[in-house]
Amino acid sequence: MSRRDDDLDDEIRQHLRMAAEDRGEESARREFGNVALIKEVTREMWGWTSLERFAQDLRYAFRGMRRSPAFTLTAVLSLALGIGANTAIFTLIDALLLRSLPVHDPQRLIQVIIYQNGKPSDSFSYPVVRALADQKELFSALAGFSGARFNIGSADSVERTPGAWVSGEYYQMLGLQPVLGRLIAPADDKAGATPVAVITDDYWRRRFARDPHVVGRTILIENVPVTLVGVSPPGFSGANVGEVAEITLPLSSNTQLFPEMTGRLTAGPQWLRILARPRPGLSMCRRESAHATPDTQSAAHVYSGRDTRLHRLDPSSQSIPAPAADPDGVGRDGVAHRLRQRGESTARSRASPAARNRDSPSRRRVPRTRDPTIADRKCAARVHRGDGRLCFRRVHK
Amino acid sequence: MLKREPYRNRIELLQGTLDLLILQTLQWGPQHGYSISQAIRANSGDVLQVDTGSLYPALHRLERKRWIAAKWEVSENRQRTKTYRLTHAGKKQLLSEHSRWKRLVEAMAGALNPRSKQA
Repeated sequence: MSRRDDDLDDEIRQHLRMAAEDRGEESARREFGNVALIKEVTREMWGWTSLERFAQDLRYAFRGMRRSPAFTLTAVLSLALGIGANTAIFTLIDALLLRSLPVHDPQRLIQVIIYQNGKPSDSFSYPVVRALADQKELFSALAGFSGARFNIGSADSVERTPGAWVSGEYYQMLGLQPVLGRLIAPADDKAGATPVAVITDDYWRRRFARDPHVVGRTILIENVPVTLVGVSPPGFSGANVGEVAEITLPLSSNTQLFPEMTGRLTAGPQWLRILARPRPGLSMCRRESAHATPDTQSAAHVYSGRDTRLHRLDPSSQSIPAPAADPDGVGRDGVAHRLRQRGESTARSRASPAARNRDSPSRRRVPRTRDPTIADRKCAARVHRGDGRLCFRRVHK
Repeated sequence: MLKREPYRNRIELLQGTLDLLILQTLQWGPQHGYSISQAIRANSGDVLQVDTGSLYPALHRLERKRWIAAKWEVSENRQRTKTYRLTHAGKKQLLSEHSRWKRLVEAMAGALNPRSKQA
């Protein structure tokens, strides 16, 4: 009831009172008519009734909902789920497809995937990361990393902070410049190097109030003193989409922070994702020449760089020449053959001429496959048989 | 939203004349709603009985058009009473409604009784 409604009530009461004085209450009431109706018609003259009526409808709706709670619950739940699911999906799509990593030239970043026993995996061991990072003629930069949680602070005020282990080339690969101090460099990721850490701009603001003297400060991480060397640029919060890493440490610091878990840095555990920048001009599917990498993953492999394949190294494989009778190499590796059988001949013919041009005998030392599907982005989806095959996936399509 | 129009037709039928009657009644000083209806009834020799369902909407409409102004007072027996008075704009409106009414009456008379005009 508004003030105005009270006034109208008073006014009508006044009218009835005066009429009753003249003619008696009974006849005054009869003469006046339907009080509620008159009030309503009068109220309409105020000119804001559509809004008021909307409020009434709203109140009526709420009363109705209270009367049938089961219906209300169903409706509210389905609306909540519908809206929530859409929001969640959009957030994901936004993060995965629409946003780019806030790094230098994100379109040129690729993720390295390995096929083992026909299954794709994006996890690699530390020595493999090291070995791949050394393939300078293939990648201008390559780095491995993994999300982690660190206990930061002294024993009485430990805060669990999301962070990441990164290899020394991480920031260089992303092409980031520090806003303060310096970022983790390859020299930090060497056995025995002093543990250092880089924090994000956001963490610097929240925990250190943008204190410019934060560089050089020592903080306790897992009860080990670690020197803060720099602050990463604003907007960057880790290379894992949707996962914030507020503090990054070089992988080699595992030795100091977790002495009991140095096994992480051996060839066994495969726990690092790899992002890389291919050399300009290196297509996703160059398929000649081979590079032997040292004894790294599960067994020894020959990394066939341009072929983007890893071959299990058996003593003979390095010396096996591609058979002259089968220049396309179809016979050596059944993949292309099987693909053709499944009606993928178009893909093959597309890649043929270029590959043939490069078929100089001197390069024919390694088994080659005619697996043109590596050429396109769908390689991860299409090629599912090659064992130990390295594939690249564009980080941003 | 529902469109309700119970009394509207009746108000619209009376509208022109009722406005004029109210403004005319208030010419002689501020009055309550009830006394306005009584005055109209008395002055018309009990012919015109203003329905309260038309009177109050009309009063509020005229108030909104600022032709009349309302004022709350507390009477001697401590009850709130609302009185209406004519505003300056209301006086102007009264004059124009007067002349309009006169034209209407003449036109009606002419239309209903063409011969008397010729005579």
